[in-house]
Amino acid sequence: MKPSNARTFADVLAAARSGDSWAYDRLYRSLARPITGFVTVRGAEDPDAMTNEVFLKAFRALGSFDGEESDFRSWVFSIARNTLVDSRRRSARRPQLAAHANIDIEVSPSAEAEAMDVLSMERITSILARLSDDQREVITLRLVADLSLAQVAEIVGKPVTAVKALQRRGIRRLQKEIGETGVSE
Amino acid sequence: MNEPDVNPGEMNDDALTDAEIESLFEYKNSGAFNEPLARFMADARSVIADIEPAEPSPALLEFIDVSAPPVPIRITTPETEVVELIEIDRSGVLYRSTKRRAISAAATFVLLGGLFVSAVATGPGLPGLGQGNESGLVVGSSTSSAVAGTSQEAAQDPIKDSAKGDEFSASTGAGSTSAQGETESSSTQQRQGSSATSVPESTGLLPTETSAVSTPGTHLSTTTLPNTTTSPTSTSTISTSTTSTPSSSTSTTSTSSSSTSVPSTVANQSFPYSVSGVASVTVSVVDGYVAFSGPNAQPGWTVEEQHTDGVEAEIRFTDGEVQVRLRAEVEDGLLTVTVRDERDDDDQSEASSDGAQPIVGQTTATPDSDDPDSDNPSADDSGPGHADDPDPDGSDPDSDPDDTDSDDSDRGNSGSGKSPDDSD
Repeated sequence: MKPSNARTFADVLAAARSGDSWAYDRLYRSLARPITGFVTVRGAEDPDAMTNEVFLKAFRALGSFDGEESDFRSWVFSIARNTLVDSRRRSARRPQLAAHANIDIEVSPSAEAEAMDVLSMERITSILARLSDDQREVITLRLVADLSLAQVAEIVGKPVTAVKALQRRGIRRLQKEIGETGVSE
Repeated sequence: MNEPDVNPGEMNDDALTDAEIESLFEYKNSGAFNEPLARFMADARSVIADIEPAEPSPALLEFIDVSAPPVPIRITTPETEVVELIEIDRSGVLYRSTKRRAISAAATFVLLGGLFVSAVATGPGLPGLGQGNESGLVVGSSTSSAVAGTSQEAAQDPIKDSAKGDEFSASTGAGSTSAQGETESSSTQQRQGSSATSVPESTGLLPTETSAVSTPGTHLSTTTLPNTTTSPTSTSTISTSTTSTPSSSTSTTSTSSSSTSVPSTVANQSFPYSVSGVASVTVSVVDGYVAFSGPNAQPGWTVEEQHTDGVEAEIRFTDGEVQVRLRAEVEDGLLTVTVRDERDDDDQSEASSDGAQPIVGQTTATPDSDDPDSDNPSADDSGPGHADDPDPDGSDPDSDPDDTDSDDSDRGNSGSGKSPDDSD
């Protein structure tokens, strides 16, 4: 199968399943950035390595996937989430390593970010660190992965109502945090 | 659980509705009710979701093709080309004649790595002939390749010439078909049942269609290659349906145009072009979209206008009132690069011989040159919408969510793939 301009997700998926490297490339590049961002914010030890691991798992298990593009996005993020959980479990068995679930980074915004009037990654991470791990996970998935409440609920293995409550509490916490310290502090 | 202690009573005044919370994730009027929070959410999304990933690991590279295959090109410069003239009169009589003429450009088609590759490059030209700089680059898929010589033997009966080996060497004219040195070598007359059955006989070519039309002051040459190129059964005819008109001395403007079609199998590659000798620009195909990069005009020429529209892009170089335009378009899996060179009459000879001239041998892969998320409609952010509350029962207990973990009755149900290495 050759790539064409009018490719649907089904075309790309079918091509990837048949081994076409361009299709894998397309799938990888469509999600590599948000997956990297997600595992970074969620405290992965090595976000780049974990991103590679996520896509490797996804591509090797591509035959088991069946769904639309949004389903694929949700599926890959669920793999990322599970990979993070596994990584933390491995880290927990290594007492010398600190837990990454509740990172609290206090770094001043970079000059570049200030110049561009955009919050720095450090500042964003710092504010998100005020949330509980569950809240941060839900809000990050909704924010970065562009997933619905139902999709996030499926990924984290909780009812939609529980996810909705986590989201509400997390937003309140952010609202309070930003109200007290300001956004660009 | 590290649930922070939040007194709901303290937050009542600032509590956001479900719609307002959802709008934070959609940026719908979010600034109206809580601008700092909305700004934080927008910035967080844009920053986190745009972290540049590292290079794929070797294991991942086994799946991903991050480097487009190199384009193997060999250049030959045969001395003659065959021009076939076909006319069909009302009685269905096919008049066919072939001509040979010296040329200054040629191409070698080589099958390597599953790609059928052809290139046309500038040749030295022959004495008394136009300096043909018309060039093109054609890459397509093919399961095999064939050879069509441009020798005099081929000119005698191009239709009957057959594949000869693993290479197909073709040539293109140096511009106007009224070039000097053209000599008619043979003329045949055949009766055909109809024009519909006679014409295709001459189209077993690679490129499948090549035409050249010369009118006073205007030169046009187009070469196309379909996506589904296969080994031709007849490969000797180089040009068909050629008409010749002597160049007019009264012409005031010369327009040179040449097109090159590249199937999208060469997606994510860049093709450096020399634009009629006045500038150079790199035409890149990334995920089926075309873009220019690095336009570099010769002294006296300026980049006047550059715009891209996804599958179309055009760049214009001007020198006073003279302009040369390069247009690239991706359509039906083909990249067509067209150069239109409009010069004063004094520059006609130069204009009629130049064109889109890919700098062969310098094709570079650009798999990561652009952000695919921003220009790829099929694989871009078309995720689920958030407008509707997916909560089926509409309830929001706002209780400790960890207490409800065992209730799976209203979990989302998107996709049917089981996550590998499921940790839960």
